[in-house]
Amino acid sequence: MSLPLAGTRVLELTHVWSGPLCGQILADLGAEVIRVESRSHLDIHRRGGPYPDNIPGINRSGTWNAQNRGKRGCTLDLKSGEGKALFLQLSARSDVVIENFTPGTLAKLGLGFETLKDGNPRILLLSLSGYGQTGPHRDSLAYGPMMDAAIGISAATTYEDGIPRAANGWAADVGGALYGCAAIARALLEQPRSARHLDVSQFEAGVLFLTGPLLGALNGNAAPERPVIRAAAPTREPDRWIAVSAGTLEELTALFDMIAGPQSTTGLMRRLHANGVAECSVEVQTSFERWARTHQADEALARLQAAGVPAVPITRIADLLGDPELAVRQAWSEVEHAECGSTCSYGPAIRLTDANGSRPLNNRAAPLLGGDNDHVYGDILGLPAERLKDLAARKII
Amino acid sequence: MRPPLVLSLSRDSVPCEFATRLAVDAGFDVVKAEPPGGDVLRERRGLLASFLLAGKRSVTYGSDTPDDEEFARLAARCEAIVTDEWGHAHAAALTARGNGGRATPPLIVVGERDSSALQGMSAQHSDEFLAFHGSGLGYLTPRVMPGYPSAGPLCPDANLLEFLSGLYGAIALFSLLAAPDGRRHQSATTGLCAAALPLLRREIAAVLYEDAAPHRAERIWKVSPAEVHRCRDGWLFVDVIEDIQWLRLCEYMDMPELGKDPSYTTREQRFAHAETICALLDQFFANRPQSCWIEAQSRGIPIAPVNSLEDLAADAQLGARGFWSTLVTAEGQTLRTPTTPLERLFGTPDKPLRVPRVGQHSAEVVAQLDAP
Repeated sequence: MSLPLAGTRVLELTHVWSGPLCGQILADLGAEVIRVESRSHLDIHRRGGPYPDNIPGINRSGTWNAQNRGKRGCTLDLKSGEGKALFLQLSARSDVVIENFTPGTLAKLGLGFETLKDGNPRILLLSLSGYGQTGPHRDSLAYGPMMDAAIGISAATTYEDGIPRAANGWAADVGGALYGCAAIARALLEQPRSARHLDVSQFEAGVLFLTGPLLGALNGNAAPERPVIRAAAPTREPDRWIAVSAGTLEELTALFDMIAGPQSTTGLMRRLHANGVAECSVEVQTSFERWARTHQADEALARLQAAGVPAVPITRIADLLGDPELAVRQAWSEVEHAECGSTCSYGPAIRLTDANGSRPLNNRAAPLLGGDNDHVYGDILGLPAERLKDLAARKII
Repeated sequence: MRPPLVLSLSRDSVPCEFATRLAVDAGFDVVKAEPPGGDVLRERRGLLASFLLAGKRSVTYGSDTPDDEEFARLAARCEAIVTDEWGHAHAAALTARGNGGRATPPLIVVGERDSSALQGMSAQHSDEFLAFHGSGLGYLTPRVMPGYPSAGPLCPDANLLEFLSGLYGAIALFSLLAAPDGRRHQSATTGLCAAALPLLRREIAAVLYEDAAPHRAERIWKVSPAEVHRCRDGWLFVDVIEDIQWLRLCEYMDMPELGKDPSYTTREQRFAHAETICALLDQFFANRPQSCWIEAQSRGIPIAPVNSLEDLAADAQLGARGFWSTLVTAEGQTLRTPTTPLERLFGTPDKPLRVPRVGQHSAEVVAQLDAP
């Protein structure tokens, strides 16, 4: 059985991460995603590592190869008249174009939505910019880490000192990618389908991750959440932390019994319900840290979980790679790359299974720069080999 | 087009309810299945529960588990069932019983505890805090500058992984329904850890290819300046990547000689001087208003305000783009609420969305099942 979006063709005019992640999810779902690259302005991730065997190369970046697995790739000079014409021919034979340029850039190239629509009345154009295509800040620069600040995640990542901490530059990029992907998948459902310009703002996508706290700030916490105790603490082992979260009566009782002793549980529970989580957090955190420091991490987790307290290790990155549960679920994708050999990266985040229990997968490695030019311009557009040679010689492709 | 009928069968699952809230925003007819006393999510999640349930219809099943005949008929009539780990087995059994041998609707399982660490989470409730720490994100958060030690892992007060898993669930739902009948898959699963792995792509590549496991709170992306700075009335984040942006920043700070200093020319050189740069920027912004970010941006300098929730509520960009809407809770209270991009692209004209009372639509949905 083929993947659900097989037969859908996507042109990806993207850079850095948000747009490429969006295209990758569609590729994992079976779409033929063609990353269209400029030879003169290479993606920042093609120029950065980490590299297999520490050997640099524009086709060797581990980051680039991870986030472009599953796609085809071609090169095209969109600033040339011939390049634009070729892109429009491709767009006429495609279902979706994804771009994450600054608003207006595509139109300046002569490839705006109206132009694409003239050539293909069913085309879906996803514009995935930092702040959206409209509004007073639409032209603002928007990199991942600074967007963490803008969307409120940095302010929500603080210790008791209240100083906003640099988060990880993930939320707006990845949120934008996923909302964009959802919008495309939803628009593909429409029958008959008309051309649409899907405007998705990474800023808005990021702000939505704070919906819960925002609703409280906007509406005066009219319906507060039930108190939940959450704490993280280091154990006896170096660099092994654990985290707990207890919200039901049973979980809270078991946690307090364990970290503070049964004689203290009644008092803690009374103070928790009378004064709220904030009033008890220091007391609980202190008890939890004292208790955790006397245990090995695995022993602490086993005791907590056996008592019915939800508890997890603060997982180190290297631990993920050997995790048996992730392996069973084929969370990793191992594909054969023409320059790097066998390469491993995260696999599809959506695990599809057919009625027979089998899992069809897109096992294509990330494209070499211009690696699919013959397929794109020869097979899809039907250009003869001589023309391709000429276009390549003149650096149009 | 008749809106696809989707059953939401989960128990206190933010990922699952977010996936189906996105289906509501996409114009789908979502029926939320609840026990007679209502999903515990309504009690545990405060206002977020109202956001998640808005626009859905509520039906109750007869007892604590969804196993009555009417409910089996409903499950079999849906175009898809979105569920959690708890509801998965129930949903499979229900559709097998209620469909009379026809093809069963696809099952989308959202928010699975898909790693060894996440097995330590409760099977009764989704939990952002444990998912964040158990998936590897907590190990790197916050990221700190050299010389600025972290006091320990932090989980932001947000629903990052729960919403990401829900987003993947919605993408799976739309994609499965977009496929021709003969190509429809039986099920799709989105896990919490699988949703986190793309976010760790750079760190995973470092482990795989350079045998360089990042340390806790370590920054792999070596850029400076890329840090918060206190200003007169709040905080700013400056994030200079390109060399030309560094020159512009130095001009803006009236320090053109720093821009010409050969020891700060490249990104690598600037990162090597991160503490010096950080101190300079701290000093420069200390007496400037937060609103200076707008002028700096107009000069091509990547800078953003560190927004609080109150800042966001008053944000000009969000306001200009119609980001805010209202919903009506089950108790009749009107709430101001954010909207998703899908609501604005595909939403129904029936505004505002209403949160159903527990079982409010049970009779209506049963009558719909009996209709020809």
